[in-house]
Amino acid sequence: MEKLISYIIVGLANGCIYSLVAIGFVIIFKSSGIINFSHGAIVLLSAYIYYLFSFQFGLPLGVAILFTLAFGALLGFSIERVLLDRLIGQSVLMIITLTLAITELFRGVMHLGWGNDILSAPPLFPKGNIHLLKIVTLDYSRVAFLILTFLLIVVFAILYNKTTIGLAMKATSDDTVAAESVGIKIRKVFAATWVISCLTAAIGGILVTNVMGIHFQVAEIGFKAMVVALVGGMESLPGMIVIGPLMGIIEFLASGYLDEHVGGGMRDLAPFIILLFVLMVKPYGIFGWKRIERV
Amino acid sequence: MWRPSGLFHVNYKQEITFLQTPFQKVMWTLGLLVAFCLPYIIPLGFLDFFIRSWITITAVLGLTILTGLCGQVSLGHTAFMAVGAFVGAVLLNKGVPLIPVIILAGLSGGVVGLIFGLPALRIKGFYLAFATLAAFYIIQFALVHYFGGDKGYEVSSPSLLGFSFNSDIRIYYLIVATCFLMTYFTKNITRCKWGRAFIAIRDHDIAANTLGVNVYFYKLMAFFIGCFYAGVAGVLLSIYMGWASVDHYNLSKCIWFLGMIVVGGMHSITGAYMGVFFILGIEEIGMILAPKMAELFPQLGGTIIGAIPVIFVGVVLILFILFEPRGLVHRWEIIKTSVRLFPFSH
Amino acid sequence: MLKLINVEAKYHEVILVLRGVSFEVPKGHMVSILGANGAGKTTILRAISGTLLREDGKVTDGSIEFDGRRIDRLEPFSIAEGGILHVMEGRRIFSHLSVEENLLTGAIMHRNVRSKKFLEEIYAYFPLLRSVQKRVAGYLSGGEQQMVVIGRALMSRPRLLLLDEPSLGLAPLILKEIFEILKNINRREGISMLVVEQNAKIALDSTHYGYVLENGRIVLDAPSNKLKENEDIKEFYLGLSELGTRKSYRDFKHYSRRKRWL
Repeated sequence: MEKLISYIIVGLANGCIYSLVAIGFVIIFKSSGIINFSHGAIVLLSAYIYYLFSFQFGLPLGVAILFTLAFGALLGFSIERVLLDRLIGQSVLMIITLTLAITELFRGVMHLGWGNDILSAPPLFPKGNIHLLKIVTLDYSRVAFLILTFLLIVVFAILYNKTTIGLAMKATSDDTVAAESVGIKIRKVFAATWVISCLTAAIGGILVTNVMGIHFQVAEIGFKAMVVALVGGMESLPGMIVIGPLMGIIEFLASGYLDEHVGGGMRDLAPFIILLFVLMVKPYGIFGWKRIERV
Repeated sequence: MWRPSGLFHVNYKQEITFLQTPFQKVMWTLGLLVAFCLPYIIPLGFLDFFIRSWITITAVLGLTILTGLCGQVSLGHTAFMAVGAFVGAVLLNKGVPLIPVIILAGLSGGVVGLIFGLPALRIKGFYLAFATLAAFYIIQFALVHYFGGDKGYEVSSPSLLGFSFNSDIRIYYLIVATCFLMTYFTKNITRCKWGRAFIAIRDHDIAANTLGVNVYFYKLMAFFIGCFYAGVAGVLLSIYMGWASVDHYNLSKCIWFLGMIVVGGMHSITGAYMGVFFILGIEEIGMILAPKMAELFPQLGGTIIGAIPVIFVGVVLILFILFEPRGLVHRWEIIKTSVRLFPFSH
Repeated sequence: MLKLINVEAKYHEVILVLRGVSFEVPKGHMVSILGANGAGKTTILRAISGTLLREDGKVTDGSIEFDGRRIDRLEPFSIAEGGILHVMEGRRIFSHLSVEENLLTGAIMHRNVRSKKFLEEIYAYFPLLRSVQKRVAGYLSGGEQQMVVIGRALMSRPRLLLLDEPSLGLAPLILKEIFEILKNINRREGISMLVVEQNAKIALDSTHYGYVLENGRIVLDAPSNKLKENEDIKEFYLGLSELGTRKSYRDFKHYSRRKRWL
């Protein structure tokens, strides 16, 4: 019984990491209809950049964080300006291939710059733990994830539903040409979206280094976060709060109870199996909007 | 189908002939000649590049049918190659003759592809891409944990009617022959009813459904055929490498395959050929230049050898998508047209 | 207010669609452009609103002037900010947003607009929309969607409204209703309108002035009521040949009235 509860709590905490990264992924989709496969790579790259500033350059942590965030924003802006400009109206395959190509490029660059070893940046939080309900211990980093995810989702919910910019973003993702014809400056919408998304990725990258060090496995988090986004439904930000921790819990339950039967590795596999099942039942995710197509 | 103006068909038989213009006939004959004489023209060191290219072309032709022709984005192609490789390895080691092995490897790839293509009946677009990604991970997991994939299987040299394929040149001919056979099949698929059904589904599957195309059947068939090709390519690779293990069939290659059909031109066989040769060529250039760059920038260390080809390919892919999204085939068509129309502009 | 002078427009740099089109939309008027399929009507509107660039098209000669300023090289959103709103062919609504959200997107351009007040005005013109306020726009019928699109354009307080085939796919009764509302809006708000239509009858009934476009050229122009009386228009666009006569097969080949402007 205690094992079950500990699986649930740890899974919940890990799941928040997925939620945070998934938010950045969903934002870009909500605003421009683009699937950014390179999101995971951006998270990892931000982690390496944070390592660069905080460890290799030895800057104070606060400054390193600021610089990393600035890098994230700049990266988002450049990707949008240089690359996505030409992709307005292109087919899904092109966009997927482009973002995958960016992933490969980043992978090569990161390999070139930092090699294959596992690195670790100076820790952000004190090493202690929080004890909840006398059963559970969560370290400070994971608590930070929880809080930040929640905050971000609240911020974005307000953004999308109450502000003009949010409405512009929703309209742009629905029909870019029509949005332009009502006077929405779609270039600005795209740029803003990418900047916000990469900022989120940078935050995720910084936090992740605290939890699990920096190495290529972190990019896998990107894929798992995307799975969370798809299972939850790409239009629903609140869905991320629910599905992320849920996925984390399922992961740990699967690995805890099934690993001995299959020889390990269930933790990485479980999200994908869930994805297949969910998509068969609800092709657009649990909270996603049905695609309206007229023949 | 790009055809020059002035080429008129007066009956259906003409419309579906295999080679329609004299130019095509010349190119095919030349291509066959060059491919079969290659080991005797070029230094043997380059043979490895061409062997890998033909194998990749076989796999990428499958992806062209699945993604380029039928529009189902598939990110897990190498997983089906792995299935074919493993089945082939096991069968070869048991002494099954070569041709049945290749066919069975292809069939196993195809059947697994069919199963994992079932989601395509409900899901579209990037959701489907993710489903194929899930398929990749699941298959990899299954192979590693249940079929000894991480250690792999050693593959004994196959033999055909007593003729043993124990040298690189002999393997080269086996692979070239298989590749050309698969190309022939692909061309036939594109010009028959199935090919037209695939194209209809790619363009608008709901509309195709209303016109009487059995979308469910053809989508599954696209997966079956595409993954059949992958299975064949997989077993060929394992024969060449002498070893079948999951490390050869990773996600990065899947991305490169997708890049190859985009760079070459998604909707054609010529595109597949061009894309494969181009990307593998860039990789070779990267590998040749890497040691020289390592000398120029010693502080980057030994990781440069692995990283430079990846960076080159990534950059090339991005540049092509930005500036030539219709691929090399499109450029080639423009060149042909401007030559034909000289001195008028195209 | 809007002046097109000898406008030439091409797609993909080779397909010439408009061959020297000149016309004018005076302030406060409703003007219609009639033509068959492929005449170039949509291209004219796209050239005016700047969306031609998005379709790989270009205005290669001539000029488009709005209130004396040239607008043919501007980006679509600048033209929209200048007061020209384009209601596109095929009712491009935001299908996943609600009707109310669709209307509100029209007001995004004007940062400090008090949207609720404007919304009430739009509902006053299109009472049908009030009842489907919260419904997802993709599920509306064609007529309702057309109202949403016109309402959305009106929300941004245009001075000139470009309407591309508003009658497409609509039932006659709802068509009449929509055009009545358009005439109403034109009269009350003074918003000029340029309506491009295939349905010649409803276009000539609702507008002040009409132009006929054939193969990229304006071939005829007159006040709408004069146009309705024109024999050529009656024969070729309104389908009214001599009353009571049967057309023999010979008549299909030899028009009794030859098109004199070609």
